[in-house]
Amino acid sequence: MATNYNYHYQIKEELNTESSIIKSPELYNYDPRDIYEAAMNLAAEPLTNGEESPFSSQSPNSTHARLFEVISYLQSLIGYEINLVPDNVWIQLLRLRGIEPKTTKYPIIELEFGRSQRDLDNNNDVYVPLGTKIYSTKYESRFVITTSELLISGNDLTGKVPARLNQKGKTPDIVKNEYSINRSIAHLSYVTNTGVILQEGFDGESINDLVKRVRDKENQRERIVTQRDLKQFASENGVEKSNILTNTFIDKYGNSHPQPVTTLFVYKREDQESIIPRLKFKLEEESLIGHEIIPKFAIVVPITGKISIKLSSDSKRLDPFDVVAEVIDDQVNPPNGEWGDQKYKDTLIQNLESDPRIYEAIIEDLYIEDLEGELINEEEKTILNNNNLTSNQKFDTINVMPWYLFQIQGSLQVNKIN
Amino acid sequence: MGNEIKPKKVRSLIGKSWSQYPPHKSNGDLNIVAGTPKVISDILSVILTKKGEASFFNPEYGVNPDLFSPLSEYDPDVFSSKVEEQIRTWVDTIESVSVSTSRSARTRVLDGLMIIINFRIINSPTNNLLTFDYYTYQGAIMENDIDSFLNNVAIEDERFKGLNNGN
Repeated sequence: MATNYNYHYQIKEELNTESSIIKSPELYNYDPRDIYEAAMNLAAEPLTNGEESPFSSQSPNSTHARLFEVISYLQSLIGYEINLVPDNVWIQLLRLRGIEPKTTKYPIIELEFGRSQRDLDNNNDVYVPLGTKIYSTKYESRFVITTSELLISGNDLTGKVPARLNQKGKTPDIVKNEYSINRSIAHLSYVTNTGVILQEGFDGESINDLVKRVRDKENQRERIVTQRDLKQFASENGVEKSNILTNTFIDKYGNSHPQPVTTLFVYKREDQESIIPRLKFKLEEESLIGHEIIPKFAIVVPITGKISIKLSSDSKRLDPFDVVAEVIDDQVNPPNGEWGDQKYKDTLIQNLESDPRIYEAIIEDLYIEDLEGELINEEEKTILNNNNLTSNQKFDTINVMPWYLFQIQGSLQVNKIN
Repeated sequence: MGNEIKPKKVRSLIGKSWSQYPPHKSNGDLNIVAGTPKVISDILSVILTKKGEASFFNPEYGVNPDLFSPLSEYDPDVFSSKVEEQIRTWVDTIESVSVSTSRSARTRVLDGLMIIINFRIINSPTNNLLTFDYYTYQGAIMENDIDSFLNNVAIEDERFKGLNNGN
């Protein structure tokens, strides 16, 4: 029986001419012999103390050679299996990680059409329909296709229109005036490409590119899933100090459950207009579905009072107020210090006494500053009042909440004990 | 400090290797061999490995006959030259080698053949004479366990203890 092999050659020919079929590179590029040699070389390296390695012989007769051979051979089998996995499977897996491959793009260039003065005088309009092909003067196979209509009429001599190349992928070298062969349009004086590239072509992403993008994304911590992510994200967006609280509710049996609501408390009211909208936008885009993250501002409680300090013998001449102010500014006042510190007085004394210039510090009195003063604006005043924080309230009576930050004011009195 | 002058780390010509005969000592440590025992271990490796049995990258490695391969393939002279060629190819620390077979009263198998390998290690003035029962030549895989086999390995007509650390 005669067999017809024409189809084989037909397919071969088609594959040769079809430019969009590109052999994909192997995902897992593995040469077992290279790995074997590398392992043997590594094993033969002298030990760190300069002694000869017990595996210094590189002949294939030894047990270690057999072992490396088997390992690298088995690894190559795994590599072969991995290479058999279709690209679509990887793409779906990467989609689970939140990464979609970027598709190929056509390069889009700008074409200029023109008509002669005589045609203008004779009122001969030039109409360039959508999908007009303009051929390259350099390559027979290349042409561009207009992506919108163009009508040159009235007093216009020229008109510009975008056009895409017939091949997807990276933009080839395009010379000015390359696309100027018109085969269909009447009354046209000339057509040419202006040299402007409106959109660069793109080859599309390979699996390797995608994998790299996933890794980059992981490294950049673009996601917001855990509290650490959220904190990192906030600090990257210019938040000086942040505190994250997850709400819990207690059911009738007394068990506590985490609620899908996380509150991000942000310090520094001055940046309010810029930070909160940005945070909200980003959080909507990146956070877990069904999990709400609410950005809020910290409540800064202005504190004043009276502190007595005893300076150490070397620092007797210093101004006690300056010393205390410096320590408080460096260690205690926001953005330093802890959120909602219930042992705030102890922290304050500890920080003061850890300074070598201060021998002893005693808090005589600590209370909320007079809220009627000029330095505190109305908005803050109402927030403080809504939280039952009133003027001259003693510090010990404050019900400390985790989103409070205490800020010692300049009206603090500092006494010096001798 | 900084860039001290240090002697280059050199690798000895023969080197050390992890022996296959046997791979471990009696105390469980790896059997690392060097010098003459290392060369003998290499020789045993080549001639006790079946062609294509172990080496993925060197399919020509090995000389051991198949269990049921016809004996007619293994004329003693041809076999000797085959073994010699394999040793020359794969044991690169040998300067000269000659292989012969003989019937010996020491063999424990009827009509057993003893293989006699006369080799000289590179940069060494003396020849070594390695002899052991090559049972597989009879068309049967070694009938004894590896320890008894190794007990039968002799160099210069004396029992060779170098491979399994004298145990």
